[in-house]
Amino acid sequence: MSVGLEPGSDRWKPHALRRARSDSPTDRILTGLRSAVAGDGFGTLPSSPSIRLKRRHHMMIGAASALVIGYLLNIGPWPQGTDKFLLPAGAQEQTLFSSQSGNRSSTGPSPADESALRYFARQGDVDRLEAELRRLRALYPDWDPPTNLLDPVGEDQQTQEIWDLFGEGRYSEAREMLAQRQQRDPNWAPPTALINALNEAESRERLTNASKLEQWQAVINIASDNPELLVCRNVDVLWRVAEAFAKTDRMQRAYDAYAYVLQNCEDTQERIATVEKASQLLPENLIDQLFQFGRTGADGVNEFASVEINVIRRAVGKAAEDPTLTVPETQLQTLAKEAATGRDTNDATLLGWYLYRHENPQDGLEWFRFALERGHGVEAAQGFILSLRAMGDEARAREAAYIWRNTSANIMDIYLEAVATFLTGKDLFAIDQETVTRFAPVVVEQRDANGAQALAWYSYNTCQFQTAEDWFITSANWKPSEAALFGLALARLRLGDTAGFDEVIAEWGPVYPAVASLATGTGDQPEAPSQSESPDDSLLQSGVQQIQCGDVSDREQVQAGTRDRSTTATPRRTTAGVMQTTRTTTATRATGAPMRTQPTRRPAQTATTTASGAFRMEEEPAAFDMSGDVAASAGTPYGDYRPRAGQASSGGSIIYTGGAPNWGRDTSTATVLATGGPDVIAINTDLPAGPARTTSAPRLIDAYPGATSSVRSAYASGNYSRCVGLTEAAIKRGAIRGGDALTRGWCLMELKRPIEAAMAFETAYSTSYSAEDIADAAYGETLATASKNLTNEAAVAATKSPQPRTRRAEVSREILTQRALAAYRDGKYADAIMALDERSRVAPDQRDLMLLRGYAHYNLGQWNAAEQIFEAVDRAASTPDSRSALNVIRFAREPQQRRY
Amino acid sequence: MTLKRTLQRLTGPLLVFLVVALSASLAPGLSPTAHAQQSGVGISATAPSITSDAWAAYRQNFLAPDGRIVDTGNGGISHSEGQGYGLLLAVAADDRATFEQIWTFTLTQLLIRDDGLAAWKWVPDADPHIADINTATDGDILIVWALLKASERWGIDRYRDHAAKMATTIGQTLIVQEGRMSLILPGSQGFSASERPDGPVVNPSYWVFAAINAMKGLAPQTDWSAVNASGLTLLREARFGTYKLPTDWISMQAGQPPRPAAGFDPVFGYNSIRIPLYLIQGGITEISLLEPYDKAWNQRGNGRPAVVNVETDEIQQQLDDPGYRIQAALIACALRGTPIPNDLQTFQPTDYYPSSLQLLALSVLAEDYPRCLPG
Repeated sequence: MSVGLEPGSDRWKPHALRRARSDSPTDRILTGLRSAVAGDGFGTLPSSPSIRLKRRHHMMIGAASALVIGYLLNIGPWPQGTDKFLLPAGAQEQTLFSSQSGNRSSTGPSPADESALRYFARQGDVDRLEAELRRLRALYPDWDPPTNLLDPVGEDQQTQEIWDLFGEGRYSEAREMLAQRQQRDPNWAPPTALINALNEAESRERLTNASKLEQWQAVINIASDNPELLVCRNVDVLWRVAEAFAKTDRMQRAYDAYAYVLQNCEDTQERIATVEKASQLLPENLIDQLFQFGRTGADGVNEFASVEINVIRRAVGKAAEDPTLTVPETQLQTLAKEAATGRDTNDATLLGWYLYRHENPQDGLEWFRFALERGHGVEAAQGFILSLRAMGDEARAREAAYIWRNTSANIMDIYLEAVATFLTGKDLFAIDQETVTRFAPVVVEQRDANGAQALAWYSYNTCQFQTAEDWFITSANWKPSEAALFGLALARLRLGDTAGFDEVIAEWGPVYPAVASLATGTGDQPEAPSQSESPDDSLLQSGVQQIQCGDVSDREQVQAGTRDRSTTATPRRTTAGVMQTTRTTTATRATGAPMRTQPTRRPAQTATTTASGAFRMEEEPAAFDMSGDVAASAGTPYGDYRPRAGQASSGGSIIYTGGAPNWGRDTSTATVLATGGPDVIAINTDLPAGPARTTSAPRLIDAYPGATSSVRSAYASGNYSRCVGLTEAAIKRGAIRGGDALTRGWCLMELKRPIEAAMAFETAYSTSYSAEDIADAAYGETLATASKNLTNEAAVAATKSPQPRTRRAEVSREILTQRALAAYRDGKYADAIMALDERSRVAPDQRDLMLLRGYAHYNLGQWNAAEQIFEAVDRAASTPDSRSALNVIRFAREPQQRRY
Repeated sequence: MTLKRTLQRLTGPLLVFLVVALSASLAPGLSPTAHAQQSGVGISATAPSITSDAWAAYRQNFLAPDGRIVDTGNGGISHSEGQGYGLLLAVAADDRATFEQIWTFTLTQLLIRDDGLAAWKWVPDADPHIADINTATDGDILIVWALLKASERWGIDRYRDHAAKMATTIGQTLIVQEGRMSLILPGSQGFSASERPDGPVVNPSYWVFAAINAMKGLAPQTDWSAVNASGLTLLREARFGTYKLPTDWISMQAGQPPRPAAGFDPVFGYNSIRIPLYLIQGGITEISLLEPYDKAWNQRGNGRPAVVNVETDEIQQQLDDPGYRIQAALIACALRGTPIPNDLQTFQPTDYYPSSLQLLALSVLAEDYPRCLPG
């Protein structure tokens, strides 16, 4: 008896009827399911009834339901009194609701069947009420439904209880009660609607559970066995079925399911959610097709606009990591339009990365700049730097990397690598002093073996063999490498230190073939690094220009080919103090090669290393050397392998703690960088060196928004005069604004015209619109003012705009340095010391300023203090400067000593 | 209580084994209906084999309203074995309504695997509730058998259809040939020769002989007689220690005699306590097969089963629950016609596992050995 009510046997499927049109999406998805799975009940789909009929019913029942619910809650839109609600309306309503419940024809449905109507009415489930009414009317054409479905009179109480359990989701108990009823009364037939409802609910629950456990085939099987589930009412089921298809690589089927929702279901939130879900599973061409189902709202906006931009973001993000993927131009335009609003700077960096990875770093650079100008920090800076490098503008890349180095480990790596590449590049003469002098302290702080080696080769190539030796030792102590020890051996040969050379060969020859090969050819000329083919370091493979060294221990000419050029350039460059060191006596110099396995075996008389430029009091402050210095305190081994990043140790190994404070490293960008692959990290000696810069003022990248392109490109190409010329007319008219003024300021700084630069920055400060610009202008003004020695004005300028932390530290340091120098020059030695004291609080002491401090004390007659300082400096690294300073003290004391 | 201890002891082995061990620690089959109900279509005339009082007490204690059988000795979880026992007992009690109730839970919560078998472990306070998608073959076998019996008793085809699908899958995926033996893998994952060095590993208490017999009509592609025959061979050969008892988990590695499986305690434990019940329920009362249990429980144990370490012969635990003691009494009845003591004939719920075993034993007695239930 109950067999006819089992699932699959229903001849009538209200669910499908509701939406059915011949050749409708319903058919398509169902057909899809059907073809995906073996036999099922899809073939019994009803032929399509007229849509008009459906509409009419919908309206009627809608009104009835409103009445019913309004009555129940007593909040209906109509005045109270149920009879009134039944009066008006059309004839159709009368046929449905006007007859008396007692009047039911004997051929009508049983009370049990009516229980479904009552249940749906109580639930306010109009769709189902409508469907059940239609079903019963089809079965019993003469039947008049009960007047008031909420009236308990005449209802089948027991069946209503089952409906109630169903309504509460207690399907097991509903089944139990239903079976009990059947056992008690074998003649009782459960209402078809109830069986259908239970089957559907159980199938939905089962399907949901299977989906949660990723049992995709089970999801599809259950859906195909229970097609009544696949309607808008169960949009969650539709989503899960679509997901199951997608997860089992049936994308077209998944698409059909999503498309069904978009073509048939009205709920806007559900429609948007549908597209969002689809966009995470479907391939892009199918996602695009789905978007075409989007409807334009009253506000003229497509309902899927917000989703679409997310989809594009995801696609661009993916393609930004995988250059083989491309995003259609239209989508890029859409994203660019959104990014240009500046609402979310992530969009700008996303575009930046995409363009960078798709060989368009020029445009990528602009997006990174755009993001930077809007405060998007580290990641944008990194993209900016990498874009510059990709464009071959190594100089600006180094500059930017230096400024941002402390914000992220990645950028620090880029900086170290970029400068190392530069120092060992082809064009020695492009290397400016500042690049070298500010690089050294960072190398020490980071314990970067590769950077140390680059400094070593640079020293070597510029005939500073003592310095080269020290750096090679430092590098090898941090991380032994064939190239470093090879270099060390070469440097010692050039120094005539055959004992030291032999030591290296003996210690490291067995490990590194290149080192050993030097021994076998000891009598021959050791090869210069440019010609050496050391297997483990590409540094050696770059065609480094050689300089003819006119002094030191040996006089061999390394490379005749560059002779004419080097004869003019070299001596000056070296003696100008780029990395001026003198050979110390053998006693104080490092004598031991770094130990391979026992780094601490290094003799207590540890070498000191310096890369700082010598302090030159006679020179213009504009050329003042801002480098930190490198000092390893005497008597302490520093060969232990500590993790990098400025871990100044208590034992006094490396006492240098770096320039600006090292804030928390942003490691989160590591993944972004990682996608950059080896081109970021590996030394790329093929990159052309950028134009040499002799800039004295570190700049915050090129943040000058609004600058006209010609001014900007003049600046970017290093044509500073043109940059100034282009802005000349405007500034005379007083018409220069924001970005152009800023650019002009930087150009004037490059041209060493700080007074005019300060004026330009002042203009930029007062006419710029963005906080970034204003900060930049204030920063520029500070530097310019400091450069023209107007240190008090610089201090004022520095307070004008809140500065980012790095910059603030930089500005303070610069101002205080200038203040100290100015005071000293004016003979105000106490003031100079005070300025230096203040400076010590914001920046590490540097060697030249320590000497300055010593001289200030000396001039104040505080010889002991002066002597202590000079001794400390000399101990850290004995140079002519430090030794002559000590001599000054001694000379000063001599007469006094004689007096006694 | 006792189950929990078993579980604790099992925490040593690999997780996969633990998982299955949990499910396996529950047990037997059901009443003798196979022959009694062959023609049952529509409203059955067969009398219930457990009393309505006993069944009401069981439901009261172990059945939740949502239709799940609660393993009270095991943190209130549920599993496929428990659902199988519940369904079988509902048939034995001729309680179609409760069967529907338990089945609805089983269908919607456990039978959600791609292969159509039951996920074995359901945890009330987890989401999703299925804590392990693996199967426990005894649970699947019990569910299939209960569905078949229900379809026969009440004439409901959809039960049989579902049973046939599951039986076919069991035959295709969980019956493996190892030498001359047709073995039942205890679960979908973790027991086969390819999955562990001493595999395949089997659990002799997963041979629900009567249920396996009933599979013949459902999934004729599989040689179920060979499966049962191999089960009997296993019970004859896997006899360890002085008591000649099997262990719960046995390695059937190719070319080796059966031996206690690695990673499990070498015990005749809670799993194996069901073996005599399943034999007698399947109509197998050969003295040579029942003798080890009869000796251990009735001659030495004074009517109480025990957990025995087969390597040390140590009696780890005497099992006093009526649900365990009735297993010893059932052997005495089957072999010697000894009446069941009165205190074991009445059902007092204790924990899910022994209480289930007690009702199953009472059902077998009522159907096949009414003479052992005087008064």
